[in-house]
Formats: sequence, structure tokens, C-alpha cells
Amino acid sequence: MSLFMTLCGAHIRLAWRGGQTVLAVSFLFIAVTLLPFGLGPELKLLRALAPGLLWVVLAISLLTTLDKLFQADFEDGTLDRLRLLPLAFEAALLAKLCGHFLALVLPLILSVPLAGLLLNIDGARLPLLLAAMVCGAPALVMWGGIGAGLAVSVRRGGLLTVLIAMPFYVPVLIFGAAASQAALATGTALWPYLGILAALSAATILLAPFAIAAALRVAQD
Amino acid sequence: MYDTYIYLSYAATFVPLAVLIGVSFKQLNEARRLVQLPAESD
Amino acid sequence: MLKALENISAHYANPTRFMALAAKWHAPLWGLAALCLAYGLYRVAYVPDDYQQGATVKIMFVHVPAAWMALFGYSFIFFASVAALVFRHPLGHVAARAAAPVGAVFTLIALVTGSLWGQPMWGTWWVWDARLTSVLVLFFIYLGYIALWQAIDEPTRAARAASLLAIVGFINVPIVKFSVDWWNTLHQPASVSRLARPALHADFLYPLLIMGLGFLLLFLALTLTRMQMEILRQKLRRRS
Repeated sequence: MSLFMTLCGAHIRLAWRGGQTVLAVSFLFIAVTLLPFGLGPELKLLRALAPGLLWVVLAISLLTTLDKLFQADFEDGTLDRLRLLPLAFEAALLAKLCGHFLALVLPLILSVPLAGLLLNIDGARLPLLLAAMVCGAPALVMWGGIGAGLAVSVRRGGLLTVLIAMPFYVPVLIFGAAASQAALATGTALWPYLGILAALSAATILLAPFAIAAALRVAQD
Repeated sequence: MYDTYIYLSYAATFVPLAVLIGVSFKQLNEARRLVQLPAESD
Repeated sequence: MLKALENISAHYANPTRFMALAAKWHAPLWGLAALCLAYGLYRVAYVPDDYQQGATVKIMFVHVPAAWMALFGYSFIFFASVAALVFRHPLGHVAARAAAPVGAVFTLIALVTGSLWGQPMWGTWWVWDARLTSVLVLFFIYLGYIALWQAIDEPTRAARAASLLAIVGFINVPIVKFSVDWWNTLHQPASVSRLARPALHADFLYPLLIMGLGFLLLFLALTLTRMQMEILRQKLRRRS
């Protein structure tokens, strides 16, 4: 257990020192800033689109962080050493992914309120949006991890990772955006959508490490 | 009036298929040719 | 029955034996595909105009079979990948790699014909209805799969990575289909029931099935051609 924590902490430190958190959050704000230039500054329109736009921008920002996930460790042999630890390889990978979530994804989600401000988001919808993101983002990280694992042996495989991971993001985006719209639209309860998102996340947290481990083993052998 | 769409659809179906068929056979014949080569020079 | 299939697949696991089988069935399979498609096109030519869509209903006879093949193609890749990765069948990777461009082309055809079918019906070139959207996502799945094969240099590694992607991706396909269907009902577009399922009259159903069979035979013939090509390329790589 403490080994798990150590690995998690190591990845967090790596991400922070490499400036990845700052880069990822900057990317999020850059994307959000560009939106009104494309859509027009009309506040009513932006308000209506804001939750969906923020979900998409979150997903894309997440995708840009993926190529740093395993590549460095793969190239300098750290991944090989992870396999030799007393901890199961899958668990070690889960630790790295948790670190990734805490160091990169959580800051992104925490940036959403400010980014939402730029899009004139309805304050009442913000908690719903954030709750949905917290429930759904783990699934995005896990699917992204699968993409990163498969592409790890490819130099400059960032775009390949994005291409592989993108179809997996569609269901999460659909339910995530629906969750954000839910309460306002028909007054329906939020819980079913959050439940689906949480279920997707839970399933991927349980199963993805095995797929990622298999992918990394293919690359290492 | 809508016949254009019908023709375009059938073109959009069979032209890509023809290209794929052509390319596949070209690749197959190329591979067959290359496989023969060293055997001849032995 | 299963044992018989096992024995057959084991027998043809040997590439040389498979190539002999392929050589024998190659021309007949292509001939059959051509005949079936020719007959299908003949039947389509005489299809009556639809009450609502007029003559443009004829587009259905290429769009729907193409979409069927798009899905069949990925299922084929999935089963071939399972055979390769789980059962270690030597021809699994070959079959999957061979089928990929074929499935991708059918997916593209489904998208383009879907768009062309939509224009006369609803006046727009694209509509985010459930089927077209699912097929679009499927297209990206194919692209990612093919890109992975191309990106990894070492052939064995590429094969294993691609098979893994195919298996993981296949699990995702029903999730995508379900979520897209649901998403579509949520944002009910103005024109309802597109490309959708009123029970097909026999006048439309039989030509559709014949075209479907023709496309299937074409898929198999193309895949067989490409499998032979992949096996030969594998042989060439082993030599050098």
C-alpha cells in the first residue's frame, strides 16, 4: 500500500517539476479563450453552450497530457523496474494513473469554474458540471492510459495516442454533457447520469490497468 | 432531379472499391514477384 | 461441430497450406461476388419508387450494406485478433491486418452515401443521427487501428499491439452504440425517424439482402486477396 502511495507521489512530483500541470491548465485556458473568437462574443449563446464546450475542452486538454504518461519511463527503463517491484505491475500502473489524475486532471477540473466564467456559465449549473466531471474524468484518464500504453514504443506517438483514445471518449462525453444539462433541462434528477459516469469510471479503473499492462509488456518484450 | 444523388452514391460506392481492389491486387502481384526473385538467383 | 472447426483452423494454420487453399478459392470467390453484385444491381434498377423518398430510396441499397460491412469488418478483426492473441493462431494477425483497409473503405462508403442520402431527404449534407454518428466513430476506430499497425516498426510487436487494441476497442463498440442511440433520442432532431426501420416491403427487402450478400462476398474476396499478400510479405521479411 505504501509502495502504491510512493509511486503515486513520485508521478505527481514528476508532473509538477516538469511543469506539466501549468502547461495543461494553460492549454485549457487557451482553448476556452479561442472559443468566443470562433463562436462570437454573444453571452447568451456562450452560456447555453458552456457546459458542453467545457467538457470537450477538458477532454482535449486531457488528451494532450497523455504522451507524457509512459514514454519517459519506457525510454529510461523505469517501466522495467516497475515490473520487478513486489507490487503487481497493474497496481503500479494504477498508482501512476492516480498520480496523473491528481497532478494533472484535478487541476484541470479545478480550473473549470474560472474557465466557465469566461464563457458566462450559469453559476447554478457549475456544481453539477464539476460533479459530473469528477465522476467521468477517471474514465477518460483510464482510456487515455490504454492509448498511451499502446503507442508507447512509437516516437512522437502523441497524436497516435489521441487517435486511439478518441473513440473511447465518446460515451463519457455523451453522458458527461447530459449530466451537466440534466437538472436544468427537465428537472430530472442528476443521480442516474452521475451513476452511469461513476459506473464507467469504476469499470475502467478496475479493468484498464490490465489492458495497459498488457500493452506495455508488448512494447517491452 | 434527385437522380444526381443516386449516381453520386453509386459512384461513391464503387469507385473506392475499385481503387481498393486495384491496389490490393497490385500489392499481391508485387509480393508474388518479389518472393520469386531470390529463388531465381540461387 | 466446434471440434471440426478447430481441426480445420489448425490444419490451415500452416501458411503454406492456407496459401494453397486460398489459391484454389480465390477466383471462384471473386466470381461469386461479382455475380451476386451484378444480380443485386439488376434488381435494384427495377426497384419501385418509395412513397416518401421517390427514387432516392435506391441509395439505401448501397448505404445499408456498406454500414453492415463496416460493422462486420470490425467484428472480423476482433475475432481474428482473439484467435491470434488468445489462441495463438498463426494466421490471426494476418487476417486482421488484411481486413482492416477493407472495413475502413466500407465505413467511408457508408458515411458518404449516408450523407448523399440525407441531402435530398432533409436538405443537409450531414446529420448527427444515431447510425451516421456511430459509423463516424467506427471510422475513427478503424483509422486508429490501421495507424497503430503502421506506426510500430517491429512486426511482431505491431501485431500484438494492434490485436490488443482491436479486442479492447470491440468492447467499446456496443457502449458507443448504446450511448449514441441514447444521445440521439435526447436531442431529438427536427425530422424524426431517419434512415429508420419501418418494416421493409419485400420489394425492397430482397434486393437489399442480395446487395448485402454481394458486399459480404466482396469483403471476403478482398480479404482473401490481402491475406495472401500479407503472408507473402511476412515471408519476405523473414528472409531478409
